[in-house]
Amino acid sequence: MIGARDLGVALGGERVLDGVSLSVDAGELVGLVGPNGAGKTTLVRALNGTLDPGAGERELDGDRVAGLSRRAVARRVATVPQEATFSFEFTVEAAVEMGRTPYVSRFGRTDRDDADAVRAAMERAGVAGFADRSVTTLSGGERQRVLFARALAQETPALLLDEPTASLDINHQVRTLRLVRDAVEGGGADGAGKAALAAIHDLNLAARFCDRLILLADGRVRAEGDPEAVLGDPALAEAFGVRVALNRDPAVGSPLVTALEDGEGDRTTAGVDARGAERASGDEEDGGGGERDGDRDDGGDDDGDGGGDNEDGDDGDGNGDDAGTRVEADRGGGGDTDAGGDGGSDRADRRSDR
Amino acid sequence: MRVWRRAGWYSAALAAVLAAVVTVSAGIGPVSIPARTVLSVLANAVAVPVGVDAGTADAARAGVTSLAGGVSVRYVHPFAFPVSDVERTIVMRVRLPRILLGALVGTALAAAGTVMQGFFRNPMADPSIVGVSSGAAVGAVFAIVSPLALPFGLGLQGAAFAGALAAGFGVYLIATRDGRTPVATLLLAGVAVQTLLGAAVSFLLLRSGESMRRIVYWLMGHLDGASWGDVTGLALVVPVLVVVLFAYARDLNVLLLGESDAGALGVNVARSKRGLLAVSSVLTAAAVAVSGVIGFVGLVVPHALRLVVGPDHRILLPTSALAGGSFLVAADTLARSGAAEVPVGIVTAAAGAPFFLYLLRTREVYEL
Repeated sequence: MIGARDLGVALGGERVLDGVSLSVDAGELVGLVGPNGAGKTTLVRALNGTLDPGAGERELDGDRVAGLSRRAVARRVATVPQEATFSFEFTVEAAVEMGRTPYVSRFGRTDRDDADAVRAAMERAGVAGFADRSVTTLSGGERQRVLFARALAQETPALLLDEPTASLDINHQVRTLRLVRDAVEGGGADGAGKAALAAIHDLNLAARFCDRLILLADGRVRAEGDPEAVLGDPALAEAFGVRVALNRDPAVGSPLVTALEDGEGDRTTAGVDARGAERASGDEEDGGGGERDGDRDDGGDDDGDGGGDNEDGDDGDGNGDDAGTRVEADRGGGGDTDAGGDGGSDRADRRSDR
Repeated sequence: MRVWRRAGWYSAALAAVLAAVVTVSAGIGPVSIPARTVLSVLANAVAVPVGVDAGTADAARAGVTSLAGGVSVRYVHPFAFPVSDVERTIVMRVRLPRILLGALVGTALAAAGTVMQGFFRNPMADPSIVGVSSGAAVGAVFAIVSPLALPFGLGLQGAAFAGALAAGFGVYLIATRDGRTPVATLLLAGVAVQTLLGAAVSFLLLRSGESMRRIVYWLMGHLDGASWGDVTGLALVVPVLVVVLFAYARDLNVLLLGESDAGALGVNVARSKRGLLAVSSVLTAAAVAVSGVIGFVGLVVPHALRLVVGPDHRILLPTSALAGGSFLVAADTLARSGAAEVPVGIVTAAAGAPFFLYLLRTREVYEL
C-alpha cells in the first residue's frame, strides 16, 4: 500500500535519507522511530509527495508516486502533521472539509459525498460535537483530532502521521493513537482498513500501538520488525547513543524501554542499578514522574561537583559518540553522595518520561 | 453548499451596496442631482444592440456605432425618461467615468490585498508588497520627467503599468532559487526593492523641476481626469482577473495551513503561488497605472470583511472586492466634494489608518 525502494534524499547537499526501503500493507500500523534528525519527517514528506526524492521509487496503492498528479497523490495518502498553524478562525467543520480538497474542482461545489465524508470523519475523530467552534479556541488534543478528522475526510487508503502525539498529554496521546489504530483496523464508513505509517517519538507508545517498528537513524533503516525485536535490537541503543533497559509494561504488557543514565542499570555500580531497575518497572510511578518533572531544574545537577563521577561513568559503556558523552556530562552529579539516591531516581523518572 | 450560499448572499448584498453608493455618489457634487434623476439617466443610457449593418451605413445616424470595415451596429434605447441635457452631461460625462473607475480600482486593490494577506499569511501585506506600486511610481515619474518620448508609444499609464510588472517580476526572480520561492524571502525581497525604487523616485523628484507638482499629485493617488477609455480598459481586465483569483480561493484557504500541509492536501503549491502572485500583481498594476498609488484600500478592506464574513476566501474574496469598490467610490466622493479637491489617496489613508489602528487595539492581531 505504502512502499518505498532505495529512497534517497539530499537537502542542501546533505544526505538526509539514504537507501530507505519499506512497505506498509493495508490493515497495518507501522511505527517509524529514531532519534531527532534521523530523517523521519523527511521520509514522511517524501512519501506524501511534497518532497521530491533524488533517488528511489515510491508507491502508493499500487501506483508510482512520480507518475501521479498532486491531487491524485492526495487521494491515495493523507498526512496528519505534528501541529497545524490554526491561528485563523476557521470552524472545525471548515478545517475538516479542507480534506476534501483533492476531490473538488476549481469552481466545483462540494457535493453530498463530500458532506457525508466530512460528517463521518468528524464523528469518528470525536470532533462532531464542536463542529461550529473556531479552531483557534481548541486545546492541543482537540486540534490533533481535527487534523486527524481532516485526514479521514480525505478518504485515502494510506495514512501518514508525523509525530502526531508529540505535543499531547498522556491521555490525548493514547486517544490519538487509538483513533489511528481504529482507522487501520477498519470499521470506518468504507469498512476497509488503512495502511498507516506513523513517526512516533515515544518508543513505548510506538511499541504499544504499532504492529511493526522501523528504526531510522542517520537516514537509514537500522532495524525493522515487531516492536519487541526492534526495541531489543542493539541498533536501538546505538542509534540513540544511550544504553537502554527493556522490560515489559506491567499494566498493558507492551515492551517498555528505559534509557539509562551512566551508572544506572549497570552491573558495575550495583546500588544505582537496583534503584534504576525498580524505577524502570514501576509503571504508575512513571506517570507520577511525568507530572512532577515540570518544575525540576536541570541546571542544579551539573553544578560543581560532577567531575569525579564522570570518569568512572565514562568507561562503563562503550559509547564513544557525541550524544553519549553529552548525556554523561549532563548527569555528572548523579552518583554523588548525600542527595544521590533521590537525585538519581528523579532523573530516571524524567528520562523514561521523555 | 452552505459556503456558496453564504458567499452568494453576502455578495448580492454588497453588490447592492455598491450600486447604491454609485447612484448616490453620482448625485453629489457642485450640482446636486436627486437619485431618481440619476437612475433615469442611467436607464436612458441602456442600449440594446438590435442589428448589424454591413456596407455603407450612415454612420452619423443616432443609435449607430461604426465598427471597422464599414460594419455598424444599431442600438435601441428602451428607456426615454425625461431628463435635462445638463443633468445627463454631468452624470454621464463628468461623474460616472470617475465613479466607475473608482469602483474598478477599489475592487482590484481589495481583491489583490485579500490574496496577498492570505498568500503571505501576514496581516500587514497589501497589494504593493511585492513592489508593484513602487515600480509603477518609477515608471510614471520617469514618463513625466523624461524629455524623450517613451518607446512603443507608451503613455504615462503604459509606463506605470510596465514599471509595475517589471518590479513585481523582478522581486519574484530575486526570491526564487532552485525553482522554490519561499514566502519569507519574497516578502523581504519586496521590501528591499520597494526601498530601492523609492530612492529612485525621490531622485527623479529632485530633478523634476516644474513637473514636481504633477508627480506628487500622481503619487498620492487620484481618480480625477478619468475617461471612459480608462473605465473600459479596466472593465475588461479587472472582473476577469478577480474571477481567476476566485478560482484559487480554495487553494488560498489551504495555503493558510502552511505550504507543506497544502501540498499534502493535493494543492500544487508552486503553481498556485505563481498563479496567485502573477494575477494579483497584474490586477494591482492595472489599478495603479490609471489611478496612482492609492493606499490602505487593499490593506483595510480585507481586514474589515474578514471580521464580518470570516477567513474563508470563497466568501472573503468576492465580498472584499465588492466592498473595496464601494469604499473607494465613497472615499472619492468625499475627496471631490470638499471646498478644495484633494487626492483620494489622502482620504483613504486618513480614513483607513485610524480604522486599522482600531482593529489593532480591539482585536488580537491574529497571524493569518
